[in-house]
Amino acid sequence: MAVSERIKVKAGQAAALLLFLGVLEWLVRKRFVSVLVLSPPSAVAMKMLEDLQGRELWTSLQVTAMEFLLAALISFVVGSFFGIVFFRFRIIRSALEPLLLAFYSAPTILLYPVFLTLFGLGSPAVVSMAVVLGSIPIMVNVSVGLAGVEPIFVKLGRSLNAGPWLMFRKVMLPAATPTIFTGLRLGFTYALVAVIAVEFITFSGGLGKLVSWRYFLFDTEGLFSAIAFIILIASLMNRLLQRTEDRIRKRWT
Amino acid sequence: MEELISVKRVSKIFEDSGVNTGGSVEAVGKVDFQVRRGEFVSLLGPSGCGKSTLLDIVAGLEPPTSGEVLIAGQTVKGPHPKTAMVFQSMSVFPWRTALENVEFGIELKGMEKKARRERARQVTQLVGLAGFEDKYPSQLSGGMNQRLAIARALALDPEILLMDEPFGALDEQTRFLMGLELLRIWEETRKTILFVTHSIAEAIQLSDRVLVMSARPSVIREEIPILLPRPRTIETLTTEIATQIERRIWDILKVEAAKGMTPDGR
Repeated sequence: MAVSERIKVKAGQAAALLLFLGVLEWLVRKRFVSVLVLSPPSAVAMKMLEDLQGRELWTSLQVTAMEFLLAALISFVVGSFFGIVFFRFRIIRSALEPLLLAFYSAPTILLYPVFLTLFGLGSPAVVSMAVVLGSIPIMVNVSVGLAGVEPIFVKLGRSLNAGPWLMFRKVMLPAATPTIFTGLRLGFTYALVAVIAVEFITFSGGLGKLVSWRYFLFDTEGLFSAIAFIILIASLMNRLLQRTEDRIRKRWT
Repeated sequence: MEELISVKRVSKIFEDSGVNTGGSVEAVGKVDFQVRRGEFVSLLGPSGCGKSTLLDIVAGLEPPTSGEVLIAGQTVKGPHPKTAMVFQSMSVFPWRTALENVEFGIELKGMEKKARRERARQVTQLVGLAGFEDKYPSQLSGGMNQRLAIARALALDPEILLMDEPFGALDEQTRFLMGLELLRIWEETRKTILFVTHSIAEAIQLSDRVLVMSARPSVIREEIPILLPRPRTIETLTTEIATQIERRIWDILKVEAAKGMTPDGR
């Protein structure tokens, strides 16, 4: 894309966002929508400034961030391990893949009571639910990525007498990196959604709890301020992962 | 000259893999041939005739169903350290720079970093890619990438190069020029080359001898010495003798290619 075109696109995005917020503001101020349902964006913005200076938002973020990082790490380890096992033993893959895909389309998040009864209310239940959601795309993409390595690359490695470890490290892993990274991006995104959702439902702590707390208090401005903050964090993370992935894909093709 | 590669009554039958073949496939019949040290020999045959399978057997990547291959007197049981392969399609790694690609083979063999850098630079220069060391394959042309694949093999300093239609994906002009390049490298390094191709022109351009293969199950129909002077140029390749050789190979191949086009491939 040319630079001038990119500027136009950015300007267009900004204009659409401003227009949307403007319409919201107008609807609420004209009393078409009750302030109990929606707060005017200007009031939410003021509340957010206040939140950013206070402690509540940051302590909540800290809890959510720790839970997320732990869930992401465990998802990565568990997902990679099973992804490699799946790739190595085709029988296991053929047997379990349909089940996993069914799992995908089901609202897995509904399993949270299981983890509540297992671990009780608190971070362990949140993290384990997030690992269930986060590790599956990683597992699937690791095994698909490894299985999709160009046969000619494998043949090259074999012609050089590469043992299993060298073959994995120098051929399979780098060749599968773009696909694996897509799995990481999806897995991490799911894990974050799961962390906040379970916090929200179980009232256990972190940003999710902050949202449901403010919801029960009819603090509409605070509610939207917290939601906006979560959206901001989630899209920042997604953007970062997407950019890294784009860079990898560009180099790898 | 001594025989460096000896192929003795080699055959290959692929057992039914279950994918609509309805039985086993006899890819290679009984094949016998020798390649002497420093020789350039081509295996020429119609597509799907099993010549690549034969090369894989010589490379130790595929065990023969019967018979054996000897390299320097030893029976081939796996990839022989004196051989290096150059493949048909894009076999360079897109995530490695040109130089890193050239290093790949010697890196796997455990050569120490500084030594392999230097060795890789030498061969990169030998194949005419000096100045492109830090480029990625996507920034290079198809011909340049095939040079990289050749350099990667040469870096191993093998006695034998096994080449499986290395220029098959290139356009005709590039292919011819790459052939000239390969001959120059061959003269400089005096490797023994076993070259698989389905291009008659390419086989004549490059080889000392051409082994013309039959359709599947492939056997060697005829061995044709290419008695054209070297270095080979446009002039030597368009003489009356060259044209006669080409016609003779065509006469054999058109029969075999027609067999390859019948439904059951026999």
